[in-house]
Amino acid sequence: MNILDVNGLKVFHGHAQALRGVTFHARKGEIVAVLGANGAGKSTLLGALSGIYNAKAGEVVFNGKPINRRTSGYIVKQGLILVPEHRQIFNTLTVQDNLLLGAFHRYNKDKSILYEDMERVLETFPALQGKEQQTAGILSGGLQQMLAIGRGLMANPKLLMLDEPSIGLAPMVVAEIMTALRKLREDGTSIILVEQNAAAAFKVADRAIVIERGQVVISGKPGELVNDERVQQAYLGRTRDQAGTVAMAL
Amino acid sequence: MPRESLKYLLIAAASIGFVILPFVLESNYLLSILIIIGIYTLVVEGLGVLMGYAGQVSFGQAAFFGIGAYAVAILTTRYSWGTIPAFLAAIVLPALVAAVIGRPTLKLKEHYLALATLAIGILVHIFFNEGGELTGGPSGLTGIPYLKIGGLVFDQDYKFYYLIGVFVLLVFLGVRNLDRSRIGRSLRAIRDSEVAAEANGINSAALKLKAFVFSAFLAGLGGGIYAYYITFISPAPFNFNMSIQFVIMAVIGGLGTIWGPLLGVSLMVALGEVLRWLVPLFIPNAGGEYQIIFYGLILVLTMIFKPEGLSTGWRKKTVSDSEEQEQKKENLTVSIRR
Repeated sequence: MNILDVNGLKVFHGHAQALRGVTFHARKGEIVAVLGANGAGKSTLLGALSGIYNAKAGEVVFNGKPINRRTSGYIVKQGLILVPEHRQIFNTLTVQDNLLLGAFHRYNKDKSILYEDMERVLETFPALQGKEQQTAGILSGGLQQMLAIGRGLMANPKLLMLDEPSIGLAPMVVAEIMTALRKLREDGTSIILVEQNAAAAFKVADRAIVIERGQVVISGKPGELVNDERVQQAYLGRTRDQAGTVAMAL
Repeated sequence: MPRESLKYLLIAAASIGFVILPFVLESNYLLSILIIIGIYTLVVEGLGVLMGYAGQVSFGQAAFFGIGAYAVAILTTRYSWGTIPAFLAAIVLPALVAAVIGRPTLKLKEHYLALATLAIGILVHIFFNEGGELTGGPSGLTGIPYLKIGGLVFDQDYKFYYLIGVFVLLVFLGVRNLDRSRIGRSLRAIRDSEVAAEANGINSAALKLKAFVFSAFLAGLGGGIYAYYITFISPAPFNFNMSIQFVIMAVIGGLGTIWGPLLGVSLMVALGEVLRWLVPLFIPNAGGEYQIIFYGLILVLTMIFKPEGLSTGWRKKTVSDSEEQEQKKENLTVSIRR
């Protein structure tokens, strides 16, 4: 069953068309990787889905409800949560305040539930434990990324969208984050993972789409995409023979 | 002595000092300076919330200050309103004006927003100058009555001193509560990253508008008290230079702090008084425009040596501070490489 259906989504930044009719879907409980070069429209796609950018045309149905032209507040309440590019944590606030702001739309509910949820997030990212009162801006890049994802989890997402979570991070930290994403999927959270690090994305994704110049040009399972010559050259930087080895590893 | 006890001791000493000060001071001049500091603190506290919490810059604060002052002057002298209703109008009117113009203005970002608020300030100042009989034109309005609350008439400096003291205290408490509230956290979240705030369902446009209205509300409060204190107003104290001075006061004191505005205002007002005495000694017939050069200089020095403002960061550096610095450097290096 699909949790997200996107049909013919068109977005403009001023006069420049960033998305030229993007169509794809995400099923419940799966990780969909979105690949593409810089400027292909990946971040715009996530921004449009989360209500930050207005789409000029197209339809977005999330969990059976159309969310076109809805505010980001409404979309967050439905459970579609964006973890933006470059972490964008709230630097001057504490780790705890960052996490609590993730649950902004349910502040009026019982506070003890929020603190229980925060404990669960800290269990998902044990590296953040004991740092609740630390100013978020002084955390390392890896911890900031974990905090950004944790803040997204505090919103109780049905579908979590991550915009390049591996950027600028050491391989060990990337592996830790990917492990956390797998666990989230096992717990039933659907994930859209925008990445330039195709190798890392293919290891966790159930399906993948490739965006070029604002359009979906390839889609399929990682095992299929890894054999696609365009994907190999553009995103894996490998020849066909080397790609075979990667495919076997997947 | 434990830190907490010392804090309460200082608060008690400051409270006693505040109460007995008018009896100790022999000069009304010093008392009037303290009153002006109090009035400006209200105005700058609002600007501090707008700039320090919501991250929005405004070069039009003097306009809202002026709208509050002119509301009192026009309603009491032209329409014979009572002093309390006119005072309430002085608080509400700037907030209403801010609500109307804030909606389109706050969609602008960074220097475009600064330019828009600057334009608002200039337009309002032109209205004060060209408002004919209503505003009294460049000559202004005289004959503003003293503020009366019940049987108490605020006709002497020491009464205004206590009145403004109460308002400043209430505003401090309000800003402190805001700082610890959900709205305060959300405003700071918007300042740190508007995209992430939106992604978390925070309605940044609505919250920025609220901060703008709150800042105008405090400017109107200051303006209303100013009109009742001076009992005469003209367009001059509400011009572009005054808006710049309010911004400098807020920045020098420390944005996003409770005490910063009081410190910034005190320094700038004291400096203004010193310059008023000092500059003519070297440049005879010098006007007030020379002061702005020194204000600019102070701002530049603060930005170089204490960019977070003078009210914060004076505690001794510790080992963890050095670690923080190292981590900040590392994060900066990573982001530059990116």
